[in-house]
Amino acid sequence: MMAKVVSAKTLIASHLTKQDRVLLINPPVVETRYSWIRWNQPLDLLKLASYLRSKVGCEIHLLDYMQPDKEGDVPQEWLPKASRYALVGDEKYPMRRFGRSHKFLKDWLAARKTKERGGVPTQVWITSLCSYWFESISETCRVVRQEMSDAKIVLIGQYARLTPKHAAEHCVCDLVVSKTPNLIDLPAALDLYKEPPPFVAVQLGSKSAIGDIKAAVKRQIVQVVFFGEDMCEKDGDSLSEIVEATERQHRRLRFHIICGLQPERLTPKIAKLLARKSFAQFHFEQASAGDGLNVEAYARARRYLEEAKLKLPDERISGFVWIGRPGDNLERLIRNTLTVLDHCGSIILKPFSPTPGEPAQLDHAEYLEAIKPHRWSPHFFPFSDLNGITRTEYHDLYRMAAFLNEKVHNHAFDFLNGTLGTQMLRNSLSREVWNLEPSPLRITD
Amino acid sequence: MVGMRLGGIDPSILRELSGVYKPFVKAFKELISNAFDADADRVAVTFSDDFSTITVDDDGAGMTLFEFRNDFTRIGGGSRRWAGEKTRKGRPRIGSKGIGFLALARYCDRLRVRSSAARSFVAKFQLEQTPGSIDVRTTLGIPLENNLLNDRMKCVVLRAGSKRSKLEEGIHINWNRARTRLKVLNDVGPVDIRLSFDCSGLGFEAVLDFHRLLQLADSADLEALDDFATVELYEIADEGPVGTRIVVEQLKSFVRTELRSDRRKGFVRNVASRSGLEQFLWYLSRSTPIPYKLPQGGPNPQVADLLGAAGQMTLKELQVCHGSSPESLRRPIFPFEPDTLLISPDLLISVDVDEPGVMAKGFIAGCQSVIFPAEYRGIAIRVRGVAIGNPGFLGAEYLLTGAQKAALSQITGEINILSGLDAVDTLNPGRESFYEESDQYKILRRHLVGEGEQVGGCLGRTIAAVLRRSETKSALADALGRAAFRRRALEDVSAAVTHLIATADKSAAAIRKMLKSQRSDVNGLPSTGDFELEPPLRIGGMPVVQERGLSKPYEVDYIKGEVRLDTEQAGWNWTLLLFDRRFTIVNKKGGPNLPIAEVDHKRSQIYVNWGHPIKLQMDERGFLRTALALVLSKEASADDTSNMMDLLLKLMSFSTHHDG
Repeated sequence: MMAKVVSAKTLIASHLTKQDRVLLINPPVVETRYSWIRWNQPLDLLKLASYLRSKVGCEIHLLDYMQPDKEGDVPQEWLPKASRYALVGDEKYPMRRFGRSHKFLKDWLAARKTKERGGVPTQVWITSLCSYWFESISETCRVVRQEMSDAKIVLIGQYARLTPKHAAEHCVCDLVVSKTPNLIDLPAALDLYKEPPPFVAVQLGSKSAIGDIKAAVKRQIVQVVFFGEDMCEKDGDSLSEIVEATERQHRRLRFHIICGLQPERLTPKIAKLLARKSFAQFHFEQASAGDGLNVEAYARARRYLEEAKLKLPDERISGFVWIGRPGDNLERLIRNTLTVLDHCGSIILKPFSPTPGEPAQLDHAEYLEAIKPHRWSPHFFPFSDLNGITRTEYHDLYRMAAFLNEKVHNHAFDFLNGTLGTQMLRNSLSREVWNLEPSPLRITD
Repeated sequence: MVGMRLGGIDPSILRELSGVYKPFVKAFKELISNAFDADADRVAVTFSDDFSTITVDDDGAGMTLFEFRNDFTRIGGGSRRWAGEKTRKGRPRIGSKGIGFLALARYCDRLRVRSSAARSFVAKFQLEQTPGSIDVRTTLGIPLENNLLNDRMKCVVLRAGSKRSKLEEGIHINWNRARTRLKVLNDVGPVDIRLSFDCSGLGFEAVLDFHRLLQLADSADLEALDDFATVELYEIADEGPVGTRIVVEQLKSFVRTELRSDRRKGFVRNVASRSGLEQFLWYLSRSTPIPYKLPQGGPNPQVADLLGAAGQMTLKELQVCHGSSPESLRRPIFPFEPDTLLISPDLLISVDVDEPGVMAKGFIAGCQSVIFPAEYRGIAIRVRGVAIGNPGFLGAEYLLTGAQKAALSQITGEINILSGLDAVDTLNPGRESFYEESDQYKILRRHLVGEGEQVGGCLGRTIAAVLRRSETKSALADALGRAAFRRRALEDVSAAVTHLIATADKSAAAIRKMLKSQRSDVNGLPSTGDFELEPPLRIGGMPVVQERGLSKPYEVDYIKGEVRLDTEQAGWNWTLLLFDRRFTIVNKKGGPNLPIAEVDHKRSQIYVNWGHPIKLQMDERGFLRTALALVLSKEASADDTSNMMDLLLKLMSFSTHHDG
């Protein structure tokens, strides 16, 4: 029988009681690469836990497959040989499981089954960060169903929210939550972690942000990662309020901004805040202007940072550059890369994946029909064929970015001949096409 | 300091006797035994930083110089005087052969002894012929100054025989001016002379020069023996703390090198790999009469009751210091080590010998794995709290072979001899072993290892318990391993079907349709006999009880003699989840011409034919996966051969494990 699609409100009102034992799961991920794995924390589950505790009062447990081990690493393993390679176009991508294996769940469950440790969960809620990661979600549902045949399986998170019908049809579950309440102001139930995680995720604008950070520091968690659409909202007051209230909680407290920092929204006041030693890293989103970049915004942002006594390049700072979006042009990509590199000192290429219901997906729905949803991972460059840029070319851009990041400090570089991309890069460098001002970069070739 | 002759010792004999104690720690422990015999409660051992000297202080009864000469340094005669005797506090005396003081002769240059005791020395002897005279100093054997003799010595002379009348000075007896020579003037027949010397307030410091002694042994220069031992007497102003201080001076270089040696690098498990000092302390704590290291909230407290520890007398404290803060030694035994697992009652054999001539209490324990440190393996036997030799198996190891012999590496024990076996004629001089012809030893051996060519007794029972565990563990691993292996086949097929549906494989629609089916057109398989793949009825000779809700896949109760298996866990589960539908696998022993498997959709059962010829080509896991993949791909493909082959290959190749 296919799963029902419900809202969270309905789920809690009709399917959950105080007697329930709810297990929240942050499942493993099957992917070809996962650069930001260390910042995977199921903030939605942690806030949901607080919500359920206050609204329902049921027993809550958490199994975070992605929690780092004692050495700070997230366990990962190549998939078995038979299913190790994903063939996408002409490329063979080796696939890994990021996070623990399902033995994690089985061992936990075996311990729970004894009388002393309490009963088996009556409901299992599985979250998801990206809709194209549903393979591992589907497998997690299978394992849960097998091990806990009587438990209700509920899917939440991005996969359930963005593609509820797909989730209901392709996963062994009972309920798919397509709408969740706004839980931004609820505290994160970090106490669900027996071992403190290495960082605390905080949503900018959340009323519980300061409290969450203070509670985290009490457990010796000193890394704080901000999430949000706009780090510069209210002229930086939201960010500043949190930093001022918590910076002195611990001398080793460090803030990380890995999304939502728009160069065009930066002000001198915010630049001064970011220049503090307590900010361990911050990365600028791409500032676009039409098809190209808003170079003025980058230049201004750089100026503000330099006025705040930050000397660029600084290893804490970099700028994102989108690749893989529909309409990519290789020369433009290279130009963008060099411009961002010039202004930010370091670049991070951000591969693109269409989000269901967003313009990129809606505008190219017909094109995307031919691509199976689990191949929408940005690392497979789903718009490669549309753009006429091969996956090899895109991979080359990664190599170039790594190369450039390393060489920019030496103010000189040489690089390989080969693909069209590298040739175009050489030509661009020769003509210094990105150059509005004198640049420290010079070719020695 | 003046020389003092130690009664009639041939240096070459001294040299031979000193070689009895090997290695150094066994020689050193004699000093601790002496302190115990002196009724000390506390002994402090202090090493100098460079290990050149060791100072041993005890708070025992101390010694007068007479006791030092006549008891501490007296060769032989000890057996007559000490055998069976107890100390003033009622402790069974450890020293019995009177050679303990020589123990360190080979290991150091000098032994310096400082002590005192508020006691009197009394010597009684008879002068058979009168008139006659005696030289008091020669008789006492101590180089005493005249003023000391005059101040502290009393002499009573009595006629021997029934009358026993006292002889009066000036009438029957006379002294010389210095009062060192006593003359009996008349023929009064034999006389009994009683000399007493009051040692209270008089301390002494004696030095035994072993270096010189062993040199003399080479040159056989008996004349120079006087210089081997020197002594100095001094008045003690007030009653200070009693006890004895012995300083072992100028330890030989090989001893110092050993003590200074470092712990072996890397992961070490045995005592032999520890630093020299650690080894010394470990062996010292195992061979001296100190309390056991009883666990406070630690493992195996039940063992303490078996040791008879309460009935034994020990030092209250033996403290050792080198450099940093002192360490109080306790006697370690394996069951009390912090990381030791709980010893199950079936592996713990109580030893309780109570026969005429021998009483002993203790235990022999088998462990679930090889014992480390290796020095704990074997049965340690103690007489009067002192270990006799190293732990061993009383010769049983020569009778055993194969698994039984290997089991010895998992056995440890501790036996305290409460009486018997402490006579001089049962222990060799260095207390390294028993005389095997002794009757008492034979009684003990019979209890511990039995008689004849088979090993029996307590050790035999322990070996049997260890082997039983090993066999059970092996049988369990085999049964569970096979079950888990089979279970993997079901997991792989289940995961494969879920994967194909989730990724919208071209076979997904057909699979979904199959899973909705309610058909039941099976043929002959359901009516054939069952193929038993259930948990075995017995494992390791013990009946298997199936249970649920255990904290582990299995529990073994060696006392009750049963194995409990949780059939909900591990590989005993025969349900197969195919996406959202659950099937039960029913194992059948069908004929070779029946299908490899059949699906009854109505009853949600899949029959697997273990009598199919393909089974001969592969292991259980491979066969199960093949059977399921074949029947499911056939059911889903509705006789479309190419789709069926395609699906079959996908189901066969999908694995959730790296060894798939």
